[in-house]
Amino acid sequence: MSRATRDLPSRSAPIIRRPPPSSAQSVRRASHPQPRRHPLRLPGVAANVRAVYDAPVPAKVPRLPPRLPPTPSAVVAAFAAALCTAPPASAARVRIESRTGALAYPVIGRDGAVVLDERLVQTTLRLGIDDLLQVPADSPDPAREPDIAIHASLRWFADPGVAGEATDPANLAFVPFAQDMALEVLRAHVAATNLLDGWLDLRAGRLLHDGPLGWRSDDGAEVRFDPLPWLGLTVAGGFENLRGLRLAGSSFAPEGLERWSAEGEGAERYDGHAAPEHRPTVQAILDGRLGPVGWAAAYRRTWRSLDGGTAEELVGWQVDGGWGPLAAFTSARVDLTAGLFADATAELAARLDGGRHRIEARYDYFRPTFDAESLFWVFAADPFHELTLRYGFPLAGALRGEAWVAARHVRGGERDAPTRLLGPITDLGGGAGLTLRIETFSSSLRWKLLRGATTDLAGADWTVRVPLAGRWELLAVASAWQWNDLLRDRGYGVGGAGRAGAAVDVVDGVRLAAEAQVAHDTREGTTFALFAWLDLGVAW
Amino acid sequence: MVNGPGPRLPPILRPAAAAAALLALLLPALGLPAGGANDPAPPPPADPSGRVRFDHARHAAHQPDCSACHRPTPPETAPGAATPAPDFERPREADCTGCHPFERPAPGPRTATADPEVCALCHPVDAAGRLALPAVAPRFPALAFDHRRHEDAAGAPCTACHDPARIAGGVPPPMTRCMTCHDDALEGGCARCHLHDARGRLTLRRPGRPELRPPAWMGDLAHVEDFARQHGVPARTRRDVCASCHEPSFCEGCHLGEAIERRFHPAGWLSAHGPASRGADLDCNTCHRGQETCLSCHRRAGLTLDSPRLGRDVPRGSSVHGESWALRPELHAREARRNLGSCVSCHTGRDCVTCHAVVRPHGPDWNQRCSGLLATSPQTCAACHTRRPDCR
Repeated sequence: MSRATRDLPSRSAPIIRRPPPSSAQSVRRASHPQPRRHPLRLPGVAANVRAVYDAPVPAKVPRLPPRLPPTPSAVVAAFAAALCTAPPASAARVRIESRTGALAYPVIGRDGAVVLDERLVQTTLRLGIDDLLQVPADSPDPAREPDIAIHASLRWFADPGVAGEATDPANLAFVPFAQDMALEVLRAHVAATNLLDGWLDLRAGRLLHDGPLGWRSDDGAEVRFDPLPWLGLTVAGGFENLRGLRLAGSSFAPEGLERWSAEGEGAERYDGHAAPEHRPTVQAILDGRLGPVGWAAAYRRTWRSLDGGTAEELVGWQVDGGWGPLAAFTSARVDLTAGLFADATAELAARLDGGRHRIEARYDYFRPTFDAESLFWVFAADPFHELTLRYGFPLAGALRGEAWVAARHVRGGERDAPTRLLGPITDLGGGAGLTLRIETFSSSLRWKLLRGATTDLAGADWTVRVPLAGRWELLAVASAWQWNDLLRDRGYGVGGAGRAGAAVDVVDGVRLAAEAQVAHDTREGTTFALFAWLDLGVAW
Repeated sequence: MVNGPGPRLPPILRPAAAAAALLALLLPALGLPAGGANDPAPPPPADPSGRVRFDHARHAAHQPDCSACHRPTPPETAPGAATPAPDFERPREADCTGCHPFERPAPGPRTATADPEVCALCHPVDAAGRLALPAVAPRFPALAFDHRRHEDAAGAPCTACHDPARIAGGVPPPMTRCMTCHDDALEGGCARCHLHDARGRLTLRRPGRPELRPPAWMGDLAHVEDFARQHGVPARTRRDVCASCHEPSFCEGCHLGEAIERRFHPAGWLSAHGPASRGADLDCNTCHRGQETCLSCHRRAGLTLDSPRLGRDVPRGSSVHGESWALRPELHAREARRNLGSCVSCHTGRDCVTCHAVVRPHGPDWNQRCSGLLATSPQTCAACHTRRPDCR
């Protein structure tokens, strides 16, 4: 066979004559660098394949009705789906997916007694509606046709194990808001993409941003201008999303302050909160790709709504590239509020012998950063430097090995003399592992050792997965550990645990998994735990 | 010789089948027309798939039990996945050879098949006498493949891709064989062969089929058992390849703690996570945030100073860290300087102020860098300082 097959001529008549695809071939671009034009979506190249597979589902194939857990999030999502897909339903593609987890396990206190019987239930529900705009049948490039999409992710969390006490104001364990740990909107936005001949993308709603500054969340809007292959500009503005679970802060806001409203009886028992705010924020990201090198630079500033002061100001950048067997990545983030480098990373990876040998070297510089109002700034004095070397290699057939070593160093010495603190701190770590994955079996065996100034840890775990009959998966995990923690009052433990479980695709779009665990630790005794997950998914 | 088990007739039909077979043997002897190679009747029409010529009526006369050849096949749909043309709802070749045993050597070039006429008994041929082969072969992780198109474009013999020793088992050529010509597949050309949705992302799971995963020869892209810990480099440097299968929101499932992931930590992790988190803070931060994940659970467990359980389940005045922890800076201050991120998993800023409002916490170079903090957030300083600090 010659290379001429790469440029196969487009057939004048497809193999199976069916109506032209009604779905847009658009690609949602995130704020981070993304391929502008997917090579496979170029007209003509995959037209024949699309003609076969993008056709409507045959009438004889039953379409599964939506099967959602009876939770508030499911009701809300179904309602939103019904509203949003009404006018152009014939062109839209709808996906609803959910994962419901139920976990039951004890939490052992430092005196060895059970302090909490966790009974956690968490439901995450994702909704995606794409291709609300139909692609013209004669479009020369469906990938660049305008599209409108709606995406949302909701999470509902409950802790029935603590709810009985937590909802009783007369009980010492009363937790404000525990009775309404309800819906959390992780993201929900409308996106209009490929406007102005593919140069302009718009998003509005609760957005997630990923880029040199890490994951951030805002309630607002985002505009992406994509004029050149090596240059794209994303500007976002709105209000920083600070709300998180009632017992904790937001997943996205800086550490150090919790900004949820503490009201109601018993709320005074919590003293870690600050006044709730709606803090305006702006963010801009420049990114692009020059040949094998991708780059991005970002700036973000957030103001306090109470007095207009700066709550956070960050700049960051990252560069990645790949040259044959080498890949490199580097990033840095500067907190302008405090005038210091927050973190920096440089990573170099080599893939030799067709990827069979992997060598990675990574350097991390890290200094914790916090909300501008957090007192932790006062104590965040020294950064730490961490170097990790990792080597993956083939052993025999599908059996692979891996070894790694790491060192973490905190500068000290002369600077610490006035405060009588000890000198430099160095932690060392290392580990090794074996992995095996074949069609009918996969397994991994890992061993890890950390030798630190205040903490030692040695542990190993062995995982085995066996798929069966295309629908089942069996799982077994065994672990053993030994640790010595000089920073705790009962700081020594030896233990082991075993877990077994199974997952099954009940029907198409319904997956059920359950696991049971028994563990024994010299400090905690013997404990049992049960876990179960239900994954649901429908699409039409 | 391909020998397969013959169709199993219901007991009630076996006498009728025996009689029909006997009649088929006797009819030629009597000079009467019968079925077979000498049948003067026109060849049967091609079935709707266009792959084989098959006369249902004639076969049904001999074998009224449809399930003897047709195996029930579950619906071939998955959420968001394109639906391939049905392939195995129809009988396989092995189902035919139970009654029609014939030799079929390992396939070579189409025109060089040992006995093309044997193949043409069932398979339709075009004007050039070539057999029509399936346009879609979706048995192993859902593929879309056009045999005819490849043959037309390259004039390639079957053995250019197929290993004659393995084709009898239904094993397709390895993907590396495809890439001898399609060497751009790793640069985003996956959907050229693999099933994909309308936006071009690959269909990863289909009922009854193995999940589509990058194979071992793809190096750092191979989803080996420990890939969850090893995907950092390709995720950063080859996002376009990742986007062939995964939406950007796929990452959020783990990195934002959107859903409880059951596959990452080993068994009994709750008992050993404390010491491990001290030595691997960066790794933890990849998926967890101290004041969301850690603090919320530690509060419920009574490990924090503002926990509702403190004073009931956990005696007040006791210390997680042991005696003299707070009073000896070489203990708690050292750990705070080493990794303050682990402190915030239990403590809020107010815990520190309890003592540090009177015990100076600032390092020797504090005056050189406190002005920025004072300018942007003076209320932080006001937590301890009653007068404006003298920062330069």
